[in-house]
Amino acid sequence: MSETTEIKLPKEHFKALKGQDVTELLRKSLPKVEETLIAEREEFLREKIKRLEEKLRGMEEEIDELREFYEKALRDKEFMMTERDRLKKENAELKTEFEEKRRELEKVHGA
Amino acid sequence: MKLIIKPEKGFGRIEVELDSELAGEINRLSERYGVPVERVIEITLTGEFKEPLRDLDELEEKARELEKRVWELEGEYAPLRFKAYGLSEDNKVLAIELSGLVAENSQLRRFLRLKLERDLELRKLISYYLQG
Repeated sequence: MSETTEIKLPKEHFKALKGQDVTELLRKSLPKVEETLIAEREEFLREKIKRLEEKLRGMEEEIDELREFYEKALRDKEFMMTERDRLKKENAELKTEFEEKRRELEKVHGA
Repeated sequence: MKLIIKPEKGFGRIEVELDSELAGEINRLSERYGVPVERVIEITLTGEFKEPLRDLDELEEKARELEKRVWELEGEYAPLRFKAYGLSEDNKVLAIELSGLVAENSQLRRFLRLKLERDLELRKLISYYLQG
């Protein structure tokens, strides 16, 4: 703390101090000040808890949505990979069949 | 410590010299509760006192627990988002590949005069990941 501390008070509080022993007032009031600081810390913590609870609710919702999206994407991937393999196989068979038909047609037209 | 008190508006000042014991006590409160010295003095001089509900320890503990939970969720969210993004990109590539295979399948079936496949679920998925 610096050697000199300056504070400004609302006019009515400043006026009320005139003629009073400020040192004695400070000394007597310190226990009440400590109680007030505890009360303010409690208020601050209550507000903080409220904000954290709101934040947590939002985060939990977001994570649930993300998890749901991820699980669906996993199922989709499995399904699409199976379909890809099936289509690859089927297209190869159809191509062979198509080539056979084309050769047959060429033979017919050639003859 | 010298204390100078002034009104917010208007003129006048009160100057008092605080002894080291009182200054020390004010300092202790300021440090313990993390508030400026000026605030400690202001509370005293304005007489705006409050009564605590006496659940400070409980509140500190609850705030700590909630903060811990927020950190845990933040730690869970970032990797999950990264994994989900990667998976979505994989699915997009698969959708492009499947789109080609489906078109090829339709063309071959048409040439061979076979019944065309109408897999709606697959078409929906392809379209979903191609738009994404």
